[in-house]
Amino acid sequence: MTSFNKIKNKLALYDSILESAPIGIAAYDENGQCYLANDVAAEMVGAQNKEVVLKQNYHKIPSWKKSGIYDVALKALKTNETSRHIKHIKSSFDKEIWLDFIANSFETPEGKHLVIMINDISEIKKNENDLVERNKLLSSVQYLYQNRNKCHDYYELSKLCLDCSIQLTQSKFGFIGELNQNRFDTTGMANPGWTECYITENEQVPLVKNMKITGIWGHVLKTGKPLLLNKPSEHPAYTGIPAGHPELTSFLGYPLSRNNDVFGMIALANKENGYRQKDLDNLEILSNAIIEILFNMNSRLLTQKYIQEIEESNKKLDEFAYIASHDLKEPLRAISNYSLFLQEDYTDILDAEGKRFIKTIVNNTKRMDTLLNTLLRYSRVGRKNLNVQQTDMNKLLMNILPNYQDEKNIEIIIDRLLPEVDCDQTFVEEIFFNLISNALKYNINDIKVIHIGYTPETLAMPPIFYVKDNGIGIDPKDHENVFKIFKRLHGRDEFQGGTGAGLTIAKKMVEAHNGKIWLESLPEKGSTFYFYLGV
Amino acid sequence: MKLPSNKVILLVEDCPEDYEATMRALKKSNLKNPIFRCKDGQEALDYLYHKNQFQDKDKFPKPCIILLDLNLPKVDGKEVLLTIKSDKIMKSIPVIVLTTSDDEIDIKKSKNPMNMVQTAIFKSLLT
Repeated sequence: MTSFNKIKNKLALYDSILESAPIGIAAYDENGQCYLANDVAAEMVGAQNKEVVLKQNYHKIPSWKKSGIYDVALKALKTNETSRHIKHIKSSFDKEIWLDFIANSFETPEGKHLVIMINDISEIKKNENDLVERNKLLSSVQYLYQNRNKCHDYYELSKLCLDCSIQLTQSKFGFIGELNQNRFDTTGMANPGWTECYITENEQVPLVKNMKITGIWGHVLKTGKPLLLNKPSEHPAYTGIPAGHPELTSFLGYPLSRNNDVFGMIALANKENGYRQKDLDNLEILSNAIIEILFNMNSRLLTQKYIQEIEESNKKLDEFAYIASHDLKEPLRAISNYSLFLQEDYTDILDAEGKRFIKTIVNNTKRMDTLLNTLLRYSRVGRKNLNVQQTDMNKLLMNILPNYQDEKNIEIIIDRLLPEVDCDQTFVEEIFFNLISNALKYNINDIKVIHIGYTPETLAMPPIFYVKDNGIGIDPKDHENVFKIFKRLHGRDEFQGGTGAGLTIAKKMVEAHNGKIWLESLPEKGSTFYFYLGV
Repeated sequence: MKLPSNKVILLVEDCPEDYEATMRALKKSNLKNPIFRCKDGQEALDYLYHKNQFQDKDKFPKPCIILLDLNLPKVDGKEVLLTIKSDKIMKSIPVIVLTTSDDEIDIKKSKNPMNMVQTAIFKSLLT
């Protein structure tokens, strides 16, 4: 092979290498004129073919100067070092790309040459951007969940949701609100920077209620579809802005819906350079979280409201019972007194029948007095009056047991040493007293045996106390009834009477401790009453 | 407690039935003292301070003992008690509180602050 052919072959080889290289390559002479380029370089910048690139002089490419590539090239020429630049550019051929630009120089007798390598890294950059966006979205959702429990009411929560949306989309201001029949109530608002009718800076922007649904934001509610506008004033639904409101440069509205029912919306505005589809996609994901926590808060508030109402109503019932029983006692005392006067002062005039009548009146006033006292006592057992102290239940029992020392044929057995419990001592004494008294009262055995004990505390349950007897037992159908006030399962004169409120009061006292009382019993098989105290 | 038999007993009681019951009890115990009744707290204070219809000091002399209901219209019994016991001169008059209220608060309020009450008689049933 001739040396000419050798050189020709080599040149062809270099050409092939240049053309098959997976990166764009171009070289420029000392005047800045391009004399070598491959098609990859041309394609990357959006040129038809490399011939177009070959016509270029880099001193005269506007996009080089604009993007800073030109300076990088000059630096490479000046320092003889590799110079690199990664930049999003719009090329001379109107192509937008992320460009990795590497420049180097070499010298020939004619002067300094510039060699560049370019790589399209748009795809990598896009992925990177997606990751950043994704991260922003995740931290917004995380922020929302972390801070929702710090919100004291629905408005604070709404404001939190709005702030997250604003931050995520880099909006300037916005509002969040909900439909109220055919009107709209805002529940959170970010100050757009009113120039007129503006309150003080420190004051919260007042929430606007009962708004007529109109304009571009109204359009979102009416259609139930998101709306992204970068020229809001050109939209047919646009109705202008109120006086003093800053100009609307861009708008992003997103409907909040649950089970396909639109119940509210988020409106965001004035993102610099306008909103992109990505903002909408992000907002869609964030709004799912927003809808969930708003509804959670709502049901939490509703439950709280019901509990409050029930507590209020219970308190009123107690007050009513107290006042009623207190006031009823006054006329009762008069009836009782005057019956007594009759008995004492007119004993000579009254016959036996008359005396019996008066005695019946007196007996019944006594009974009513007992009932009223019971009712009074019942009405005063409340959570409020609870005086909780650490109490040794053994000592507590020792205060009660002397009450039974005169009773005959009874055995009270404490199965094991009782624990210390936080409770109201007076109340718990009365609970035990009522349970033990009942155990003795409803018992026809020759020897009445009562066991008192407890099952120890577990992770899930506080200690459960029990009072077990060998008495007459209770039919399961009456297990609920025994706790009802003035409900008696036996005749008034059987089993030493009583008002039929002992267990009711015990139950109220247990419940005042956030505890529970229940029983296991069968007729003739004895009864066991259990209770635990929550506090 | 022995009472000078000529001195007035002031009975402050609004309820006619309770008034009658108290009078009956006093009569039964053979007390000879004249008894003056006030129907509310304001009247009692007026009597003690000789105001309005009670300006005649001879006709309405300082009582030797006061029987005081706590639950009274206008000015209530606790307030009357507090006024009497904060007054240097009136303080010496023994006061017996008549009450149905076994409410601890009521009793504490009348007993504790200045050890004001000598006795509290409970208007119980069958007195």
